[in-house]
Amino acid sequence: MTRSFPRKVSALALILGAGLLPAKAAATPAPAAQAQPAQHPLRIAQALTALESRRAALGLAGADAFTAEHAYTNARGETIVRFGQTYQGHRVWGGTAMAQVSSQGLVSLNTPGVMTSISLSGAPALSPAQAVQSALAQLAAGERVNGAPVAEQVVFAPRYRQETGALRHGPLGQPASYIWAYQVHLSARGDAGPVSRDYVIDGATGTVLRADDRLAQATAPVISYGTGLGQYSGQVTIPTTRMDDGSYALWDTTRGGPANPALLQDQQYNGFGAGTNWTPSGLQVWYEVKDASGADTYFMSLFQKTIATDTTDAWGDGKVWGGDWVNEGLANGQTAGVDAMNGMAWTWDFYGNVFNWYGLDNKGSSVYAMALNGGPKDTQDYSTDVASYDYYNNMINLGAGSYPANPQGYQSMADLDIIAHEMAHGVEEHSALMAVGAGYNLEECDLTEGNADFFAIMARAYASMKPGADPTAIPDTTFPWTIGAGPGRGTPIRWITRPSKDGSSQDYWHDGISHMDPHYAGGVLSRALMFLAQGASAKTTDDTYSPFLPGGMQGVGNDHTARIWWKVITENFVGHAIGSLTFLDARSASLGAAIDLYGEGSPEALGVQNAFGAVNVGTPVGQAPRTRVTFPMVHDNDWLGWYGTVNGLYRPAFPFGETVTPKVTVSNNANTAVTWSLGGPSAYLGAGAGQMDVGGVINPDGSWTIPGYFGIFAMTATSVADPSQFAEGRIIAMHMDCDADGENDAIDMGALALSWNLSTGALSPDASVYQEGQAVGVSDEDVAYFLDMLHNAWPVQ
Amino acid sequence: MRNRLLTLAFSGIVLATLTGCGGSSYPTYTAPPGPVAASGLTYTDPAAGGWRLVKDASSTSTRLVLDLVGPAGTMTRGVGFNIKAPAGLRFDTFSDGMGIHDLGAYNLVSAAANPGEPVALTSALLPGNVLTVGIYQKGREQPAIDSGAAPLCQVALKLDTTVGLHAGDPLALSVPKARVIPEDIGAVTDTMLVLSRKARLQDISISVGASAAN
Repeated sequence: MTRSFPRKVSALALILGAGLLPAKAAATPAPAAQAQPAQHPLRIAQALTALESRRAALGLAGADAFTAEHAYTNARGETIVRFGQTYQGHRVWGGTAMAQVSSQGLVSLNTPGVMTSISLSGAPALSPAQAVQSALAQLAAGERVNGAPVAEQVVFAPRYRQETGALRHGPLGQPASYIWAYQVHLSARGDAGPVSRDYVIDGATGTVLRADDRLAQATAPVISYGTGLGQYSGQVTIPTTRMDDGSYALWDTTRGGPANPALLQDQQYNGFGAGTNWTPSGLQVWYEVKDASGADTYFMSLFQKTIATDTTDAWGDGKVWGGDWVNEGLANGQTAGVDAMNGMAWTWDFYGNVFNWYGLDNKGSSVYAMALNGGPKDTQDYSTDVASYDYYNNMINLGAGSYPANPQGYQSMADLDIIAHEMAHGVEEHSALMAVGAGYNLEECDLTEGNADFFAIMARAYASMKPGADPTAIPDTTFPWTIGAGPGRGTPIRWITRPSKDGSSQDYWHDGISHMDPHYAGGVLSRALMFLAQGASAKTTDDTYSPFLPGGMQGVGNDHTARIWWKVITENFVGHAIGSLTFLDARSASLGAAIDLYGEGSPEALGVQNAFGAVNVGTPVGQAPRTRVTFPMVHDNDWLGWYGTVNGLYRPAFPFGETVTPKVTVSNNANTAVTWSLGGPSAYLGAGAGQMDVGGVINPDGSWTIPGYFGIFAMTATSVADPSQFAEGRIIAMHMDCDADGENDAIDMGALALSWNLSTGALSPDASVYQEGQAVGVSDEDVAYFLDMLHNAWPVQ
Repeated sequence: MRNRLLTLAFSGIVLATLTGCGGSSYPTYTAPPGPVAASGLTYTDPAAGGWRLVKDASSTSTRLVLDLVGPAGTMTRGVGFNIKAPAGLRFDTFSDGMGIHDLGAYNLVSAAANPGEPVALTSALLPGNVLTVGIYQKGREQPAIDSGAAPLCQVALKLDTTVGLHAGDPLALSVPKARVIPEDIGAVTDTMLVLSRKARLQDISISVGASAAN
């Protein structure tokens, strides 16, 4: 069957007859066109005026200002403007304000992200070049930087400092202090795959304050996938371009307008595409160029026919990639290119026609896919069985797949749902900009992955529309809600209907779910949206059954569900990658969006409550609040929270070897008893399995005897009254006996104080609380953790 | 009734008062006052000199605040000790929720410190009703102070009225372990050998006065 793309729906066409446009278009389909309303400048000005009028109320000084970073007019004619905050002309890291301007010019402000009481003068002690050097020092051996990194001077709140994977978690609040810093972006490639990372460098010391990965990975790195090129999209019509020499290329000039600056830069510095008269705009599909052994040459090429040998506009052979490295550009390799172009074009049109969103960034900037990533020389790295989205290059990486060389591996990652997942990251990073990445222990990262999976299904549903269907609406799904069944050779990477079928993911929320890899926790969100769209079953054996909603629910359809969630990520969420968004935030924002769009008491509004309740986020309509088990957050806004570096920033510390009773909160139930167990889902399931410390002994009285060694231990507390409710927490076990007398007490702090801040290192290897046995310097972090340990283990009542 | 009165009289446990109410009446009995339930605390300071815990003037009849005082002329940089209380006494907290109160004698903040940095001041209630406290100067550049010039820190206790103590019941406090950072902790310019030999905690003995329920 040959498929083609729906044309972009013009406003006139909508007026004259929505739904009557031909879905089968020309062989080279027309794209979703630019949609930048002419009224944006006026509305941005109106929004800025309203924002400035609130200056005093917001507690801003004369040096504070706002710069419009993004404007988007939704399908209802409202313009949402996102402002970045500046101070003395420098960007305030994380400082954000939003405004919604109605068609009548009425402005609603959303300002909890504005940072106040900034007081800085002078300039950073370090030069921008020194900051760049600090960032470059973070690259691993063999990683080659693309282009010349630039350091941007920014204002940074130390409370957002992050090291070893611990972003700020919890409600927004005003920071206590600010410093000058630099943000440096490094884009690099190497044997370990692509690198795209933002570093925040302390302007006084050169210390790395944050390192935020800008690559959104779709799958866990160690999973082996197979390859298979061309079988996903079947026989399709794809947009191509005839080049100057008469050859054809996988270049869609009909979608997207502005050139891709990153691609231009790559050409300039690395010579990519030289000699092709290349204009890096539109949608493009490239491939990594390998030598005959499959080793990386660090070059890439557009899929373009060689005119001397192939003058046709026919692409691919529909077969699994056979590993004919150095000939990736020929028919077998082109098959992945066909799938990539097909997936990108459908996804592009999905956002344009349904949401009036132009491309990934709503500016229509060029997007390119890098197909056939990886190869036999890097079967253990990120590239081969993985897909990712690169924010700075506005590109998606699609692994070649290691199958059949690796019988357990995946096939090509160029399937539509994988591509749509990555492009959803791109859209979300240009709207809500939620935190992304594994190891951060943030529910916001889980929401990021759940969002990408949901829109992957929506794009796939959109691509399944029947000829003659309304191209501005999303049809309901006629296929299983799974991700990656193609690359998995029939076995999905994720089951949204019942995420736990992958053996790792969670079907329901629990406190501490964010300790898991976000891909395994994100199913809670995508499953809730699945319930909202297509309903939940009352039959206990169905995948769509939830014990939290035993009677099931009716769905409101893909289209309404997608519009609700779209409003959340483009209008309701103020993310800015700070990391504070939670599943409960997603529920409340969805409920607000449903009420705005469809009315209070509407099936959509009631459905949101039931759907999220079905995944244990809030309660369904009519149910009493559920028992909740939660680990209290510690160090949210204290010295350790700001400056602590030990992985586990917001976790309590205890002296190892002691018997203690960790704190846990049970609410909504008079019976607050819990059953303790060692470990937790994140310790046993998914990509993090085996990486977390699990140990000690749970005693009959519920106390825990901590193992006698340093570690970050996973613990689970389950409600006795309602065993369906549990929480997984982390506890840091540290050394306390600094005076080595065999007893843990406050006197040990004297030995620690004796070694504090000695440039020669600790006087005794026993002095340090978390580097026991190493004669390293003892810092304020030792003092802070010592205080924390003593307080947590034996509080004075 | 008569049998019971006789039993009491023979036992000698109580001093019964028999009062005649006429020739034909049985004698009557009024119970004597029993031991008085304790509601407060008394404390007698130990002998002057040496390390000791003395009653602070802020103490009340129900809350005992003890000041740690060192021997005059003994220069130190910090002190920690464990104080054990018997059943019937509970360690109390100060307004900041801690079991130790800094009286400002030690320079807890390093000269180079940033505001808000953690100071080496802490307390905890160990199993066995043992309060462990520590207060230390972490900045070596800060001079040692005369431990006897002024009280160094405080701890507080309250009567545990659930135990059922009576006035006069003794409540023996003890300090099983105490250590100080001495004045001479070596210099950073010393060799590590010299430095590690000098920079050590020193054991001290802290005298505790007599306390009792009241």
